[in-house]
Amino acid sequence: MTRTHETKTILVIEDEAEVRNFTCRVLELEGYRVLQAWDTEEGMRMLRDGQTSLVLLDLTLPRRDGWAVLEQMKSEPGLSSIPVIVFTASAGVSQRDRALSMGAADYLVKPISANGLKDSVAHVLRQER
Amino acid sequence: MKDEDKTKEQLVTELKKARLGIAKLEVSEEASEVERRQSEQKMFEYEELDRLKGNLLSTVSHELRTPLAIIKGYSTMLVDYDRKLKTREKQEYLRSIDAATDRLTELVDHLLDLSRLEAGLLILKKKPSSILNLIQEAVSEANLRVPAHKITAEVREALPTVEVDTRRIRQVLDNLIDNAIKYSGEGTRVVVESGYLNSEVWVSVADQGVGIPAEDLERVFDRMYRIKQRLSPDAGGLGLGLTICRRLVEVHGGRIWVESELGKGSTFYFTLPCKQAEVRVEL
Repeated sequence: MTRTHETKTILVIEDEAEVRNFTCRVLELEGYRVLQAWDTEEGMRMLRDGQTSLVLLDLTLPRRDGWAVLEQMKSEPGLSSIPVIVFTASAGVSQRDRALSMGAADYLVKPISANGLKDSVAHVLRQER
Repeated sequence: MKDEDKTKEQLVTELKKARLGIAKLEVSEEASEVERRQSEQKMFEYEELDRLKGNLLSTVSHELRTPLAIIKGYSTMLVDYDRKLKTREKQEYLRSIDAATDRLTELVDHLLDLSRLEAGLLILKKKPSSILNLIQEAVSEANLRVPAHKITAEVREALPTVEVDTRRIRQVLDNLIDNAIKYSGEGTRVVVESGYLNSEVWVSVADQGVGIPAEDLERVFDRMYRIKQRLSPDAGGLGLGLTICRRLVEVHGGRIWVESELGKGSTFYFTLPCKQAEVRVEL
């Protein structure tokens, strides 16, 4: 696979295997390097390895939910500057407002097309330059 | 008339009246206290109902959106990246879309079943049936569906005929077997047994899976109850399956319960009544 985007690394934290597979595959086809985790603990461990340029975060996760990841990331100096796109099946306006006020760069509601996902990631990474 | 001018009898009568008045007032105060408590209880029930409705809506929305995300995601991938995907990968995505539509259909069926059961609108088409045949069919189909598990039927005694809606009892069996598969590892055994005791046929479905914590045993049949710590990454769904099983067994006049040991597995039991006069033993 040809790497573009200076081979940015995107971490996908999603517990639903098929949704995770779709998300990762679209990002790979777009030339990103992709890491994947199915729960909060695994996701936080990968984040602290220090290669991640962006996080795609599901909110409904086993044990500790996605809010905990967002909260922890924003409170840790080494992680607070990494942009987070929330990718969730929760369509509520209050959830969206809460995520954005906690520092999420975008809030995507499932279902979403391959193009919608690709465009959001590209837009957020462009803003980070 | 002033008090000093009244006779003793008049004063006693007035005192009695005053006491009666106070007693009536106390009774009415007690009544209003009861009324206040009743309205508080009603308010609490309405709030609880409102909370449950809110939970139901957000859970239904979440559980519908997840298979929709799979369908939308893979179908747009097939269109947008057609040239970059190999045939095998495309077929894999089409199979995933197919499975996600099955999941959506099941969710809709569960919601409709539960609504009908709760409204008392489910019509049972009962007929004398062989529980052994139902078990054998369910086990045979589950083995085809999930070859990675070893699912067996072990019925060691002759069983009487039961008067049931076979489609609905198959639904209970399928749900219990699917749950056993979902919460246990590949290659482990799922055993379906049945017997006859005290005018009832009993059926059990045992797995060697993760088990259920003791504090959750009573609540696994509650609507949308999910064990706090999800024990399987793929254990999605609305959490209505066991609730529907319980209602279906109960409308047949039976009981359902679970015994479990954490880390060792769970056994779900249900019973179906047999009227003694109608008992015909299968040989």
